Amino acid sequence: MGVSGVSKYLFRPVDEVVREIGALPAADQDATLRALLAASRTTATIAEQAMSALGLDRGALLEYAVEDPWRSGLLDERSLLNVRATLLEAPKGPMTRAQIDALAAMGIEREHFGRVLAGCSVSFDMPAVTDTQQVMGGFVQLTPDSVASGVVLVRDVGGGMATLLAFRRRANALARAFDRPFVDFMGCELKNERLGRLLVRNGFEPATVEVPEVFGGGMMDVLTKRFDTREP
Amino acid sequence: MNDDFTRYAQIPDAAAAYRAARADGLKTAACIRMLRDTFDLGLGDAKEVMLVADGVAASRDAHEARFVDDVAAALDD
Repeated sequence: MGVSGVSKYLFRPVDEVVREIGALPAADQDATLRALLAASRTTATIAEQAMSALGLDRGALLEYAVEDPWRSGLLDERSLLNVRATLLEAPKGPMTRAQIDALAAMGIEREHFGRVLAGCSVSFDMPAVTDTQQVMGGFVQLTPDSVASGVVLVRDVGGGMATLLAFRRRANALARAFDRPFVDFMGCELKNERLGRLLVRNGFEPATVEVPEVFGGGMMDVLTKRFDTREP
Repeated sequence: MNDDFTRYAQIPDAAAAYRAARADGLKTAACIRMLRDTFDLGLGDAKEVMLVADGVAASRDAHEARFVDDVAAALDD
């Protein structure tokens, strides 16, 4: 991407630019940020703000940024030591601490936080309640009024109840953190008839929806129900 | 998605390919993409390969059956 390619990010609200860059595939994010860092002092500042907001202020991209002639000082060498590259640090940019904590609790990788903000469907590998073992895989997507949250695979052998309650609690926390009143739960490609009947008796409705690209695309059958997170 | 699953395409058995992918550190979503892309599986079939290969259950149906009581309790909670 040349200088002309990055000019579209100039003279625009930073939050808007961050969302736009956050929605790009990872490789394009990296290329765009490098181009912004290299083009001018103004674009480098935009890039550093975007890197900080999107949690990309580490690794090779950060090394590139701190060596850059236009470096503004927003990112410092301490990041290279991972002092700042931790989920426990004070958040910067458009995300609040509650949002970062809720995304991390769901097992969403930090490099994908920006895609969540941009409304993309993002996969998660949710850790267990008691340890870091990944016990549930699925996806979340912010819609205008809800967090759509699909369970694709539960790998927990012994802690089914605890895992399901943790998933519900964490999805609710995610919705509240992003000011979404509803959570749309989805059970994806279920096979067991007893489980299906149980969910339908409890208000879940069958639907056929698109499989998120992160799970390979196509169509899938789901049972889905909307929950109001404002209810006690 | 810029996936390169050529390494796993050389493994003839889907379960073995899945175990190799896990050993390589692929996350759940990437493993499912790999299985679907490499072995032309639907989402449900890819799930079944993973559950059986992990030793979680003998089948997807049997695995989900074990969750009926837990789901009922979670919905009542």
